[in-house]
Amino acid sequence: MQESGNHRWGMVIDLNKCTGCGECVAACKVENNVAIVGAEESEMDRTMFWMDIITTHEGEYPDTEVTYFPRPCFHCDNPPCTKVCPVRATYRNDEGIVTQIFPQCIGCRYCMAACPYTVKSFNWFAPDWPEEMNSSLNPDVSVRPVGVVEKCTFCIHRLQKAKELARAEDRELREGDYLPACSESCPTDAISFGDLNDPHSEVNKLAKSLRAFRMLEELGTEPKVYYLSKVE
Amino acid sequence: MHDIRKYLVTLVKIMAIFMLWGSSWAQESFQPVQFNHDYHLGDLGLTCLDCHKNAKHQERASIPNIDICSECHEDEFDNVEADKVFEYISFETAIPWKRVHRVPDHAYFSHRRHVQLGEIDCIVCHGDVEQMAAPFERPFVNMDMNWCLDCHEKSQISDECSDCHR
Amino acid sequence: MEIKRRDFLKLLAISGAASVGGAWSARAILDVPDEVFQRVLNGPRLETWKNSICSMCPGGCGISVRLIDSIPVRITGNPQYPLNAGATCPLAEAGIELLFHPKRIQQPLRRLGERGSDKWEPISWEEALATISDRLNQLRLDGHTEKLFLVSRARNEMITDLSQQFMASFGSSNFSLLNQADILSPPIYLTQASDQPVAYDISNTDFLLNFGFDLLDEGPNPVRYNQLYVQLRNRKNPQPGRIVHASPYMSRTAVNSSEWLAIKPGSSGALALGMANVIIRDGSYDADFTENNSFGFSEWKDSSGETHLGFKELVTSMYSPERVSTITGLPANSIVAIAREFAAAKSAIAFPEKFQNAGANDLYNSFAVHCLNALTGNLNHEGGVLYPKALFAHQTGGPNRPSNHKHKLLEGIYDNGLLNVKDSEIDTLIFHQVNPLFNSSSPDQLKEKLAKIPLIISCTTVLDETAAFADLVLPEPSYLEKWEINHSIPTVGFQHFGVQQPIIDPLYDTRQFGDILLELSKNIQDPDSDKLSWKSYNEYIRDAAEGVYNSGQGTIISKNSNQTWLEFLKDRGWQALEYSTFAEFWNVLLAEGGWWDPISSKVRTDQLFNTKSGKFDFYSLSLMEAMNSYVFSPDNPIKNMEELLAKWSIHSFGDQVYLPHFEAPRFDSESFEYPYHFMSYRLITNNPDIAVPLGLAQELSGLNSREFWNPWLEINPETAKAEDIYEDDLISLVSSKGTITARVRILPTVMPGTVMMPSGRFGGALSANPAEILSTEMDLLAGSSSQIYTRVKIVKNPPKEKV
Repeated sequence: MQESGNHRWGMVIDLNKCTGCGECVAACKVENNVAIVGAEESEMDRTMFWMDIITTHEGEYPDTEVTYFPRPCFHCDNPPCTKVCPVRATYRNDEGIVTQIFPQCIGCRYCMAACPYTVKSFNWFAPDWPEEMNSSLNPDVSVRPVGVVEKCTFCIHRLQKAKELARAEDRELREGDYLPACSESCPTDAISFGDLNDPHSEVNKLAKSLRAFRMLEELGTEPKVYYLSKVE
Repeated sequence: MHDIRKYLVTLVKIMAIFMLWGSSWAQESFQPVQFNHDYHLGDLGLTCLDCHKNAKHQERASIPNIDICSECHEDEFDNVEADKVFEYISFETAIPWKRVHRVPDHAYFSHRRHVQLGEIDCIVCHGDVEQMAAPFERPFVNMDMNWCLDCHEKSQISDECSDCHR
Repeated sequence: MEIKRRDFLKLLAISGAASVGGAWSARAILDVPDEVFQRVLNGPRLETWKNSICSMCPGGCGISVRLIDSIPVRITGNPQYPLNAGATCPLAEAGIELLFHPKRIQQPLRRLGERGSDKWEPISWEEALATISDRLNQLRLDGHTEKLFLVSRARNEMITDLSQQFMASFGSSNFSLLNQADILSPPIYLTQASDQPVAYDISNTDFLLNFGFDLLDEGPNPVRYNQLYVQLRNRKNPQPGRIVHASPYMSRTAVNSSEWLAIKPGSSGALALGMANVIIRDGSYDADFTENNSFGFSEWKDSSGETHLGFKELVTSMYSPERVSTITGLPANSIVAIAREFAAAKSAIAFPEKFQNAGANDLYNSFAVHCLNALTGNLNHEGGVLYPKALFAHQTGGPNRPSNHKHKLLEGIYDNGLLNVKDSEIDTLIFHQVNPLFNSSSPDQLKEKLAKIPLIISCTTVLDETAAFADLVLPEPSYLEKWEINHSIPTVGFQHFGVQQPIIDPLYDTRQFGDILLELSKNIQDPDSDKLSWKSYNEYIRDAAEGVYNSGQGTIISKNSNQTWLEFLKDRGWQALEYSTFAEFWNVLLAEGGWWDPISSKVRTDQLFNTKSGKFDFYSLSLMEAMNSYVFSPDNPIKNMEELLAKWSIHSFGDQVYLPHFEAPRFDSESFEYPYHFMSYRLITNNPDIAVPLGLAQELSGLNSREFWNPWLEINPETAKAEDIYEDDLISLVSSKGTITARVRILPTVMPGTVMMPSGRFGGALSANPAEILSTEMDLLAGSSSQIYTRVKIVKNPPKEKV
């Protein structure tokens, strides 16, 4: 693609700044028209969070250490999920985004099993949506039908718009032009996002920090979401 | 044998009625106003973008309505269809156009990309609109994915799934 | 043609989800007005943005709403608004759901049949308002204007001003505000007798000691405090500040602090006094302040020559670290360490616990904590407690109570709730955006009370539990469809306000409460009463904005305005942005969303006090005066101070009553029968103000517990082991008042012997309201139950019917 250049989109989440408020989760749900499954389906663990929060407790009362980990899709550079998809509904594109093409998906859910981080959600049988549902959809994101897998896309629709705007204005894509909803809405700026290949970008610098680590690195998935560990 | 013939005759009668009814139905206008592109583009010399103002800078081209029509239709013209337009304008009621070109929700199509950046002429996708005396009832061509990909391949534009599906 | 799944997608622009009942059920879309639906399908998809203020909680964050073809699709923060700097919380995102909620009231309703039978007759506004006006005029004729009661919510909004003015012009002083818990309730009037709002300068402090207020989930502005906490702990220059959270529960606020100190419920005041003991003995207190700006620090003699106890003597004799250790459960040397750290910090803040409606204990706890700020010289300077000047009338008057309210000092601890007003004294009761039948722990008593009131009107957006008991229901638009001026001066410490404007035309036949009051005022037939002259509420707030414009102070917020730059300009005598007319100012104000003046002039410390002594009262003369005058007041049948104190459960006597001291919390039952202590807490996503379960908020509430749409019970591993309870078990909690059933979460963040439960509205099969089992004893306001003094016992394997 002419426009792709050498971008490699990644994210850095500073655990010192995350308060666990959940705004990233909410912003993502509203931005991406993610279904609200309702009380019954929730009972069956079928809630859909493209961005989720993992809460860990270490130690015993009263010396417990609680940490909140916002967990989007990690957009691995070596993704296990893409290797098992029979129809190429999920694949890693030239810029590092592991895409999820909803109309292509046949709902076999192999990718859900393959992902070690369980970031994928499935649209199960017609969920019993509560009446009081948000009827204001984001027109930039398609609404998924039943039987389709979905996951965080790093708000790829925003990338498309940013690129289009940049081209229309005859310029390059700048840092900050493209931010996923979670990064943009975090009240404490805990989520940084940008081009890991750009030597001047914030994520590039932060990813090299001594505090930086990734989840389950030993599996060789090469996730592109880095965490900065807490400091005392 | 006799029965089969009787059956066939009845069938033909039914078909005849249906065809007559169908043809009269076809003569009813599909759109509320019989907008004449040929006249506006040919005789009046307007361009597509003069009325479909959003086509260059937005995703959707938009179907012009009374806010744009009223730029010229300030008075009554000597024409049945123009009178209809004038009436809609006077009563400040939107003309209830029936939308014909509809991109499905699962696909992303941006007019701006194609018109402004791709510099594609409207008639390439929408057909010879300049010759149309009656408004659209159906798209010029069935705009399915294969049709889009055909042009993308020829013009060496990306065929990456995530560019159009989001 | 064979219809495939994906073919449905071609039929509707909003995908086949509607027909296959997938992502969006047809029902959901049908609840949107038709006209809106058409625009969504066929419109040109033009994007616009509008600024307003969020009202999901009292925080009042500035929001920017993204609209597609004039339909709101997303609510984000307004990056220019100084309160939240572009951020919002998850609840804000659910605002659109509220806007289009199918349970919204669409036109005025009159009750048919019995109260609470849920049978309604739609009526016109003319009819509804005429009914009320007739009643009000009758009250005026009979000379009984005091029988009009207005109960509204405590929010930082101009409607409080107008309500106050309306009641005054009508002739009733019975205007009260519920849900005070979110508004800071400092004992400013106890110690300073002034009505100034107070703010805590967290960004500039070095040490924040939070005595249990979960600021990141509730309070004046959770979003802002999330930001402040992170900024303070990650600060580079000067060095990071330290935050210590002393509370019985390791809430999310405690998690995000530098340290959590587990203290027993109700002991925050004792901890503050223990610290004061150490500080006084060490001599590290601000002697200059205590000498020159305070009263009652040391022993003093009154005009008759009698000696009275001073703060110093009381604290040093009765609150040794050892004694306080017994009360709080903290080791004595921790208390000493914290005290020394607090005193040594260049600037420090002692943040009082949330107002829990827990009677005397609440009152004296916050008194003690505030004295700690004064003792260490942290009043009225950077990094400490600030006193921004009030901009509008409703910002004064104590913790957002109308300023002409009698005995406001004692409201927390004596009978002033609706439950205690004599039946004959109420004729007409108006509820505005409050739902005491849900929040109160004594709904049955309240219902009994309401049954005796001749006319009840509820002005609200969704038909909630309280509106169901009204005779007339007047629909107010959602906050996305109305006008208002909001602020959160206590959070930021400087003057500012934001303008809430309709981002979409009202969907239904609704009217703002302000407009209703103005209309009613016009109809009052009595030439003596001062009618409110504004034609609409929009005009009322324009007027207020014009007042600010005329003052020449401050500036409208914009992308380029920041505090340093404004100070720079002001020093040179320039105004940042000038407008030649008010009309121009108003237009820009609406476009940008707010106004601010971060460089307000400071008040001199000695001007902060309205006390009789003219100084900071360690010994509260105001409290003494209020209590003594109450003894003789006609409302009070008990003419004896000793008995009154007993009634208020104040166990101390003499001088101690007017000094900060420890009052043991009063539980509702005995521990041998009910061994566990039950407390409820608030989640950021589940504000009890919200009258219907909002899908987004319901699913987000469960992020940490993984229990969605239902509440849960948090128990310490030790307690769980003792009771043989496991994760996810369904158990019942039984108090002396009632029973609720929910699932268990075993967590090390809970004190042994306590059970925690989130409050708010839940919509699942196991939904339960903690108010059902909470102690009724303290619920004197009939609006917000005491959150912390209930005891329970655990019943395992509850019978299936209870679920």
